[in-house]
Amino acid sequence: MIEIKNLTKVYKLSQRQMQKARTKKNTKIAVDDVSFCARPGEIYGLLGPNGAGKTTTLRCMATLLKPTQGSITVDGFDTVKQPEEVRGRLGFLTNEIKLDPQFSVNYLFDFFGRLHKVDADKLAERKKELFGYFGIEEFKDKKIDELSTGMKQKAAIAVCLVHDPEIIIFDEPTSGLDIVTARLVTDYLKKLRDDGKLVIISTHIMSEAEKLCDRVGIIIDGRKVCDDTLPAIYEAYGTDNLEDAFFELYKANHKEEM
Amino acid sequence: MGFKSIMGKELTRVFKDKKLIFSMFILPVVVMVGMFMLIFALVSNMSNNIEKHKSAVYVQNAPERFTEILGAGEDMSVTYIGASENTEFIKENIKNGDTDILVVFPEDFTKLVSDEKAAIPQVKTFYNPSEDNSTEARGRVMGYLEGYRQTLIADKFGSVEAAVIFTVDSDNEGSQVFDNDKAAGKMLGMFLPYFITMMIFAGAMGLGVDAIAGEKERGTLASLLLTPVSRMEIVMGKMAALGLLSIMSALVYILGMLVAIPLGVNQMGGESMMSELSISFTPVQIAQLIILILGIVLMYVALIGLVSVIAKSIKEAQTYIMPVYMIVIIAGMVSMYTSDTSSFTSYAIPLINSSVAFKGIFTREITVPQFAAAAIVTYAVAFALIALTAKAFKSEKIMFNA
Repeated sequence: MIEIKNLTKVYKLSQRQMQKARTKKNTKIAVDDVSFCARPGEIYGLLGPNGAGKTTTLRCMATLLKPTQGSITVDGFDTVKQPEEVRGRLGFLTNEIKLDPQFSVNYLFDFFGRLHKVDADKLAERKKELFGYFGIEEFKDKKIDELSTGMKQKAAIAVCLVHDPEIIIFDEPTSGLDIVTARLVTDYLKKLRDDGKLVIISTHIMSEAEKLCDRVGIIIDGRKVCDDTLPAIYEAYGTDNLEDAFFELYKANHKEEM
Repeated sequence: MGFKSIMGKELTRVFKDKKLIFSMFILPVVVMVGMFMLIFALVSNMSNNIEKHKSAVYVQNAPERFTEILGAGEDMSVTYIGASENTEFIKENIKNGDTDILVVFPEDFTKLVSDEKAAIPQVKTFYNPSEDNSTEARGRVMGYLEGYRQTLIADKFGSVEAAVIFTVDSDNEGSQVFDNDKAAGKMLGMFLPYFITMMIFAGAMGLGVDAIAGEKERGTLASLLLTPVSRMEIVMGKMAALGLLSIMSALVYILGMLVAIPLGVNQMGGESMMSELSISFTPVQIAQLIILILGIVLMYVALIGLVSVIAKSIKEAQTYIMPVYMIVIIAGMVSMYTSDTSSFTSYAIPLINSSVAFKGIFTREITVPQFAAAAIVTYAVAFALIALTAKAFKSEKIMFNA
């Protein structure tokens, strides 16, 4: 279970960043007082336009960033006070985090297995399952560098799940993937949920969220404006799809910066 | 566990890459041996040429006995000129390098020599010290003149020995009182610290930049940061691997030198030079060297690590590291040309102290407090840099530009 309480993340801007953003403020509030709770056995979707604060929120969960205010607990462990406990329970995947191009999937799978303290028997079992599901067996000894984009993504997913984490966080899980691989990934996420894991994804593709998520939290300009199951959201905004509901929320909550 | 795995991966990265193995461990030896052989070949070739060259000599007013002596030698082509001839054009030729030397005797040389009341006659030579052949010709002429002088002395006193009043070290074999090891140590201490520090730094530089800044640029470092391994373990694992690799590459360079120098020296026919270079170390010296070298490796690797973490890309890291490299080289050079190894402060300044301490160890002049100061300062700086690197690993700004 992940519990976020009043998460606020403020970035300090450098002179150059201030010029780029055409602002005189030397801080940027990326996430503003966000709270939510996600439980095992569900896929929770974090929705919002680019720059809304989705990735920052996910990175705070994964202990890569420290909250400016508020707290996050993962299965009861605080991300700031017990980061190593938290990381041991998480599988975190984003497009910016990549596998070392000079090594094979096989080597990296074992390597990260050891770092996650997975014992040899369990590792072999995990490898058989994940390599089998994602069809990695046939290219497992090739260097990451030599793989296609789809193969790389499959490899990255397998490696990030090596320790059989209870909580899986995917930042835009299907971005850049072809339709076949994307389906393979979303099906696996559903399987993980059905196995009783907690899956958190971020996306700006509404149709993907509709098909995949049990609950969604919508973030606009760093603030959470909605957090509910899909049917409840449809009912509340009188629509039959997420996109229309999202625009209602967007109009109501987005303010142009002064 | 994490430490070992991370170190293992860094080592695997190098040892699985044939190109890297070649450029790190094979190429240096080949280049080193090749370079030394070339230098030695060129030097011996040059001295051969000078030796083979027949000196072009002009002698003015040559006494008869001297012409006989010169005639016996085959390494000169001599032109004899009379008192009336103008020597200016000969001097011009010497300046141009066409003629090697001009020897001028006084007109009435033999008369001056035999007349006890006359002033001591002077033989003048004109040569060009900027020309190798001319310098060589002067040496040869001086030899012949000495022979000539001895014949004249023998004429005057009956034998050369009769004119000898005293000798210096004519049968004193123990004239040179020195400790062979210490003398060789002094020679090694001159250039070796500089080489060792430079090679260790150069070895760690390329790999360190790639292992940290490269991983950051490729986005692979973050995947390590997501494991339950502590930041300190990641830093230590990477640095240990880097340190090991840079020691290995430094050893390869030293091996290259050990192979190349005797080969080259033999080529020049200078076996005696080799025996002068031989040196034996006491166990204390070896222990001191190992302690110091490990400290330096740790310090350099940490320095490179810190710079690489702060940089956003490989290119940026390389830009930052060049000035650091310069400082290391300059520090090495400063210690190369300072003979003052007694002042305590030079053992307390990081970078400089290690080279000074190397020198002291080689000459066996280093005292225990001096060595302790150098070692403690080096290790303290190394650990401070490692701690800073680990701190940088925890910084959001540095790791994620956040």
